[in-house]
Amino acid sequence: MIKIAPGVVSCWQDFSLLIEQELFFMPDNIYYLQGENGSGKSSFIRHCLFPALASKKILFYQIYLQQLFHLQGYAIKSHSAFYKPELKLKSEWDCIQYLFSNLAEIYAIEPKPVYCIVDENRYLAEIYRYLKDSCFPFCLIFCEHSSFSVPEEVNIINFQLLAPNRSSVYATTI
Amino acid sequence: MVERDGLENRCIFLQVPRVRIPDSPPVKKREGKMIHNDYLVADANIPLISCDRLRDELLIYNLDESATATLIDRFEKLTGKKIDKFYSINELSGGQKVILMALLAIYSPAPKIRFVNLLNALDPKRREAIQILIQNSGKDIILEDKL
Repeated sequence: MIKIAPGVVSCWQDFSLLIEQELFFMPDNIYYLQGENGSGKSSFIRHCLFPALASKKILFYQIYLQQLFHLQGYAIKSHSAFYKPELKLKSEWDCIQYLFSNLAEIYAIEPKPVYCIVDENRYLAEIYRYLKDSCFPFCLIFCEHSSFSVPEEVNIINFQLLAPNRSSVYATTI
Repeated sequence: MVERDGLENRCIFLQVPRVRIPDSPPVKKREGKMIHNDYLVADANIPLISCDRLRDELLIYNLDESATATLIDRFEKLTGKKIDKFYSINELSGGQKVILMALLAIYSPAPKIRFVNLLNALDPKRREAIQILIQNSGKDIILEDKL
């Protein structure tokens, strides 16, 4: 389990997050980071979630699909061109599948829960389906502005702008 | 005058007669005004071209002083964030970058704009505001969703 302590987290020179309560991210759960543009969802991922995950990286696998995916896409294509040139990745979905096939290979050697963080990706529904169909226990954490629904219970982490340079973060469940 | 020195025996292109085949359509020449028939493509997957100050994007989109002032004012109304020409655009969130791209395109001199995946990156409030701006822009704007 990943825990994030309450308090003020300074993300940028002019932006901070007020985490109002202790936040838990557990395997076999889905978390929706909900908030308007600029409310600090991506900053929360970088400045709170990543350090917490890094401190327990022996216990979990982690997949992160960043917002504005094209740069990450180039990095993944370069990796595949070097290690698996026969694949010839073209689309964003090819890159995502490449990451998941890599995960499946390493999971077969050493099974561990998977934390999958998806920051506004057009393939969120496909990613969710892939995780559901796979054998590994997973925790899906996502941000999204379009309609995406899942049958199971979703934990919502709300991001509320208090001022242009400050947001409060708190959890609810639906 | 280029001296051929028997080059025509080696280069096949020099042996082809330079005549237009009568049934083929004439080549359409690109005139100055034709440039304005093209669309400015603004892709929300790659919202900003430069990666330093706002002034670089303003130069790329060819915004004058008056359009720049309007853009900065509108951006503040939409996001609550104060920016100026020297603002480092890397400090904006992903959604704010897309809003900035939309405003740069709308306030640029381009009469025709093709937005790609614009609305997916915006929350409902900003989506509505940008749609109103598009409607009121008086420009020929295409909204396109692409996977």
